[in-house]
Amino acid sequence: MKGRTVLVVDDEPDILFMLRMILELSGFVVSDASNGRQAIDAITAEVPDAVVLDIGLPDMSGWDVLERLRDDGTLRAERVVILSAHVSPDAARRAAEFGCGRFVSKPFRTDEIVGALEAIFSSV
Amino acid sequence: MRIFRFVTPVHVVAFIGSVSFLALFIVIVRDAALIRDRARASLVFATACLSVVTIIARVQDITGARSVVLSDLIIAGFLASGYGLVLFRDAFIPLTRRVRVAVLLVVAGTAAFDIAVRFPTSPIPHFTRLQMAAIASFGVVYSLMIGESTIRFWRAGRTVPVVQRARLRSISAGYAGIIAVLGATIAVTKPNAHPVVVLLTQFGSVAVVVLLYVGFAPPRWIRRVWREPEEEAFRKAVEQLLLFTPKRADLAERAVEWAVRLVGANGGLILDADGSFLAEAGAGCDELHERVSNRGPSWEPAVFTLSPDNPARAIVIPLHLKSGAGTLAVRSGPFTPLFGSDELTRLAQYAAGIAAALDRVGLVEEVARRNDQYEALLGGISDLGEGFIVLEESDLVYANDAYLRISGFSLEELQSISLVDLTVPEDRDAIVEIGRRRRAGETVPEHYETAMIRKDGRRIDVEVSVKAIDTEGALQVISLIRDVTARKAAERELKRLDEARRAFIANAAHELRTPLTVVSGIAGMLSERRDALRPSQVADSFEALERQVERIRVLIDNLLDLSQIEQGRLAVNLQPVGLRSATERAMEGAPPPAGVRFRVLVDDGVAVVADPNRLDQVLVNFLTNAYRYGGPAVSLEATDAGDAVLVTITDDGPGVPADLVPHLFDPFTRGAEVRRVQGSGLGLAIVRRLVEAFGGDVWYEPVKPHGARFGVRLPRAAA
Repeated sequence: MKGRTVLVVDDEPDILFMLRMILELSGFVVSDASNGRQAIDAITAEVPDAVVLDIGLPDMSGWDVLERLRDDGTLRAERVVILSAHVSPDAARRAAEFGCGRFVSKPFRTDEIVGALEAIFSSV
Repeated sequence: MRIFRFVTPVHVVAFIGSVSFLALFIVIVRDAALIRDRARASLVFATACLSVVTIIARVQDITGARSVVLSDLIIAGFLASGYGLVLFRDAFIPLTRRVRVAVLLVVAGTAAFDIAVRFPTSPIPHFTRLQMAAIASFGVVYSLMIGESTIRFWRAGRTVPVVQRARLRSISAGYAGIIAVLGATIAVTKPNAHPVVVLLTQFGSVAVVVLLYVGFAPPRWIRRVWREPEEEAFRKAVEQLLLFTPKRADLAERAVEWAVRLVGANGGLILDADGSFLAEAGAGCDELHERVSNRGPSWEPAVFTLSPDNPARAIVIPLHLKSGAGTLAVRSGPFTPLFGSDELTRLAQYAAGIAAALDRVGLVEEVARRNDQYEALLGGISDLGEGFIVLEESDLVYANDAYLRISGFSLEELQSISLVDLTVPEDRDAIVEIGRRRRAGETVPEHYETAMIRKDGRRIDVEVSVKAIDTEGALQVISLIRDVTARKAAERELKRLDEARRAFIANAAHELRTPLTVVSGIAGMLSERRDALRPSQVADSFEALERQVERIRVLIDNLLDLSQIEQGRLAVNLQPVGLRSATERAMEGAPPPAGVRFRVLVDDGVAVVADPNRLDQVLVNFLTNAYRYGGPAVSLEATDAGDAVLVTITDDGPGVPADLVPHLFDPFTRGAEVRRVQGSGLGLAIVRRLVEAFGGDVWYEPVKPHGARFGVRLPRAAA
């Protein structure tokens, strides 16, 4: 996993802080964004190897971000881990429809998120 | 030969007159034998006296014998007959005893005087002065007796029904005739009397006999003649009566009046099949009722004397009603001609008509009664608020008041439109389809819910029950319509509350997820990989932990607050609170951060009614919101509004997005832009409930050109 780049998108600074710590300890190169706009800009500027994307963003939903980037061919959905505080089966189904690599619901254990990213890289 | 010399036309007519008197006497005697009463006894006496007088007169004529004794007998007989006629009058129109005795004394006196003067016995006598006086006294006394009775009978006839009047007039005419004949006889008893005048006098006496016969003992045919004018009026009246009288009691009332009139009765009554009293007319009905009630179930028409003490006669006829035998009874009075088989037959015919009419009217009454019952039942449905309508082949034939109230239309308006148009557009096709299938004889739902549009355009929810009834080939559709708008609204409100509750729980859980994620993630890392972390990362981790735990604590505190308020278990300690000091305490709790310009415009001494601690909480909440979401310039202002104080917190930030404003004071309403900012999403919901608990209210208004203003209206505390 060494050197793989991961963009973490969440509007809660403490979540970003925590994820950055966890992922850096696992050897990922981490960047972050706290809303949809920032995320799109960052990904358009340089496509990361993987994205951890929260659904409940303040300016637009994670789905919107995903749709935009997928439609213009910038990002492949299987490289995205969806983060959601909603546990409704709806969100999981939607993630599957997009073809997202993994779906992780909050609160999660550290090994869940790391495991999800490792699964993406091992399958790609 | 000698005898024939005397047989002149005068003698023949006089003889016929005498025979008539005898015949009258015999008829009266027979009548009196049948019905024994004082009136008939008086008549027997009077006619007997008159018969004797005329017989003596004829014997004198035939034999030529003239004797003082015979003359005296004539005088006495005449006067006695007069007294008899007075007694007859007395039987109808009673005299006082004193008058009766006086009349008797005068009669006796006159007779004694007339006998005493000794009239001459020759056929053409010459009279002395005394004798003339005697004749005059005789004439005067007789004329007074009979004349008074004549007038009395005539006058009595004025106030009684036709049949009785006819009889009274006959008697009166007979009495007058007697006087006339007497006068004429006296007048012609003189030398130069013209034979024709004498003949006419004799004819007159025959005519008088006929009149008396008719008056004293009217035969069947004459009674019919008397009834004739009544019969005609009767036929018309009865026709009206039987066809158009709507009430049984009225019909009976008028029927009995006519029965009484028809036979010249004094009174009458009608009893129902169960013996109960239906109607009475005239007088003496109590006695009659006593006599005719409690007859068995089956009996024949009858004529009988009312009682041993009362010579009045009565006719009783059964009324063959559907429910059994009723009774029609009439009783005679003094002037009643006679109750015979003719009257019986006539009344029996009449009774058949009355019975049929009573049954018919009874039926009509029953129908009306049933109708009233149905009306009352339908009224009951209306009172219960249930609309009720009846459609016959798609035409509205009935709509109760409740339906008119529900729909807002009048019956006429409803009849001029199609009821389907009252249904909300989205349900019309379905309703029409149900109607079509119902007419086709298919089974269709009998209960459904829909909504209709009232006349005033208001939409109301209704519950409808429909039933088709096939009555004699016509399809009648009855519908019950209940306005369930309130219930539906309550159901919707309940559903909304339930959804709000679910959303609240989901929101609360969601709000807990983020801090829990941070806490569990960082805690796990600190315990497992602490040695791999840089010291600054460890320090930051603890700070993050602290922040998130505090966030959880605030959230749980707020949830508890809200829960207590919602359950009505929040204890507020209301008391006067100085607004200035409350503001100062709030500024200590929520000091303005750097960069915020804060202004307070609260006069000293302004006090409101509130719970001091909770008021602090309210103000801190508004101030925190203003610092977090608002602009750099924040002001708190108190203004006077009569018995209330308005506290406003204004900032010059972006203001609240318009789509959030309606839900601003609902739990978990937070703008997307502010999600990053710390908060539970419950603050304003709690604030609103607290202020309401103080008896005040809260609101939000945008500030031009930009900014937000929150207002609180609180009761002013007495100075």
